[in-house]
Amino acid sequence: MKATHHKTDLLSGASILAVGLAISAYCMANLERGTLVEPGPGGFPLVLGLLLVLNGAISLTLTLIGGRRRAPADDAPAQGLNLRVLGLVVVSIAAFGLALESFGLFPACFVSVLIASFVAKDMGAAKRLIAATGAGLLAVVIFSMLLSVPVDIVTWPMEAFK
Amino acid sequence: MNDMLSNILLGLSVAASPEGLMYCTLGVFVGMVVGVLPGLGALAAISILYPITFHVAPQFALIMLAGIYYGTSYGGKTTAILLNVPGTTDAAVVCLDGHPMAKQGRAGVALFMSTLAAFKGAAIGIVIVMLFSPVIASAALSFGSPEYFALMAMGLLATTAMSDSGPSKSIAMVLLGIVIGLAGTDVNSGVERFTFGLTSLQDGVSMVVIAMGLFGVAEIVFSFANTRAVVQNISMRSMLPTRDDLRRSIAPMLRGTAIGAFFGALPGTGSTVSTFISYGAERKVSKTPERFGKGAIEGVVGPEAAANSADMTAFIPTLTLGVPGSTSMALILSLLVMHGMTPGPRLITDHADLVWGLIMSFWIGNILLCVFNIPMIGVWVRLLRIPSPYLYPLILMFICIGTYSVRMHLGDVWMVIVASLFGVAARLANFPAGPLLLGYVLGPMMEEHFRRTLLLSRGDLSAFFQGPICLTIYTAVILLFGFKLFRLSPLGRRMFPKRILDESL
Repeated sequence: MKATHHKTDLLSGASILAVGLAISAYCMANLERGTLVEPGPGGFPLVLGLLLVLNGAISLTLTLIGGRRRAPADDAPAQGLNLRVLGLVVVSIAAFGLALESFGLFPACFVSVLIASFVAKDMGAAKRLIAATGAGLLAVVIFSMLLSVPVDIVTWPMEAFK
Repeated sequence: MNDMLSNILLGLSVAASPEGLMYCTLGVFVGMVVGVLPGLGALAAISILYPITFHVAPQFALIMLAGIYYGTSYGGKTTAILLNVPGTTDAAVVCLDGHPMAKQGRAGVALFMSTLAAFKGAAIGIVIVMLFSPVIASAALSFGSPEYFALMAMGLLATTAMSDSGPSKSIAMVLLGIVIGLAGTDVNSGVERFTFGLTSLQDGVSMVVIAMGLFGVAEIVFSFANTRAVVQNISMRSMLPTRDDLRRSIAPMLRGTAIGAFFGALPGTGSTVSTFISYGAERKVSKTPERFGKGAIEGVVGPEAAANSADMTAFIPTLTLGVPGSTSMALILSLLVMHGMTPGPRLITDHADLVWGLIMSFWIGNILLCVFNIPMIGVWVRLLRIPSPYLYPLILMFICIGTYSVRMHLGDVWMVIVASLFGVAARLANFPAGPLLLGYVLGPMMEEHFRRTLLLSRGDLSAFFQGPICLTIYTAVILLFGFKLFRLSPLGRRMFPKRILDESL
């Protein structure tokens, strides 16, 4: 337990340091720093980058010395991640994005809800289809009709085969 | 006094208009739904409905978002009492005594009394908002850039100091959030920053993308649990409290309200902290502390009053100074920015209809919530019986369309995936997402005040620390961090109310 804590601490300290270095380097390379009297576009971001570097360096040093006792709040175990759920959620969003412009709002919603419904393993096929259709209709009513968002409800099959 | 009356009437003309009533009802209803559903909190709800506000006039959008915000805490306690699962973080404390009451068959009484306490807390909170907002705003008119920079720094650091993660991680997230907030074309020089040549980043990273990814999707990924709840039925008759219940509840409600009103207005503390403190206080003053954790009504009504009065007073710094004290408030503040308003002390005079409309809508919203919670309790009990896998795909779909509808830009949908993966990774590594969002919202304003301070002082860095207001603010920051360090020390760990929760569980 102790060893893993040490390792995650090192990792988070190192990532803070790395992000800080990346931001600072980006500012130095691409943006004008300006002067103290008139800071340029790169002035404030550079300060932030350097603060990140400082933060990362301090926390890395403290972990390496190992003298610091871990804060109790940090002991809160990270929530377990269900990779299947994450995968389905990402695919569902991506499917929405892919389907929206070539097929329209209703098909995009239908597909995304259908995919996301596979998180529930015990749902019957009919129930999934009904849920997806209902969700698609609801989206059309709320966004196209009530909020008049200018998006095509169904473009398929015209657009898809152009 | 005349001023107050005309403000109230002005506010009512907005809040009680048909549209005002509709968006207020919608807001508190959605807040209730999300609050009842375990796992999704106010932040997720506000994020998910955020895009809709682009299609609505700002005063009504504000009324709706605020309704979601305070509605969730009413919803959260319902789940806490019935299922022993806090629907929101505020409701964690209510589980301690609320659920034991439910197990004794007194769920109805717990629900009724907690609603009463919530309303009482909120009502006094609203009165405080009405009385103090104009005073604080006019005092803040004399603030210059150094003062604002200090206030924002305090807002950011206070949230970090109160966050559960280590200070190094939350400060890192604040800094990263500011950098993300700065991405896009710089207003002063026209130079593109952190865009990496991508056209979709020229206008900056969209607020919606950040909120959806970090709070909407990330929350869903972690709370997509396939559980079916067993909930008892609640009849109206079972909600009637005994005379003893009422007698025991009056003082805790008042103490809770005072605690909540104070901590709600402070940056970084807010309603969750105030519920812990109220619970601790009730247990300390009680003659029979051993009843706590076994269904003591004082442990339900005190924290509920605290949470709801804090929810109201949290609006004071946001509306009067333009400095949000919490992540939800940052989202609400960014709504104003989005609609072209400048948050700050002038808001309450320049957009009086908006501010007073919002404040008066609090009354309407809280009354509606009482109706939702007492006669309509059966609806929520039924909602709890719907297994979450049926609901979450729908919420996910709303996230997708919502994100797209803001700028009609498919690139934003892809960005949500990136932000979600980042949000999930951050959560796994215990990096808090709240401070990042707060940094994102305050970042551009901070840079402006940073530049202006240096310009006016001709590059003299000591200008940041001049004047009594700046010094007071920085002293407060140091005290807050002192408190944080004290909390982490062995003595502080014994004294901080959080321990009470750990012991009781």
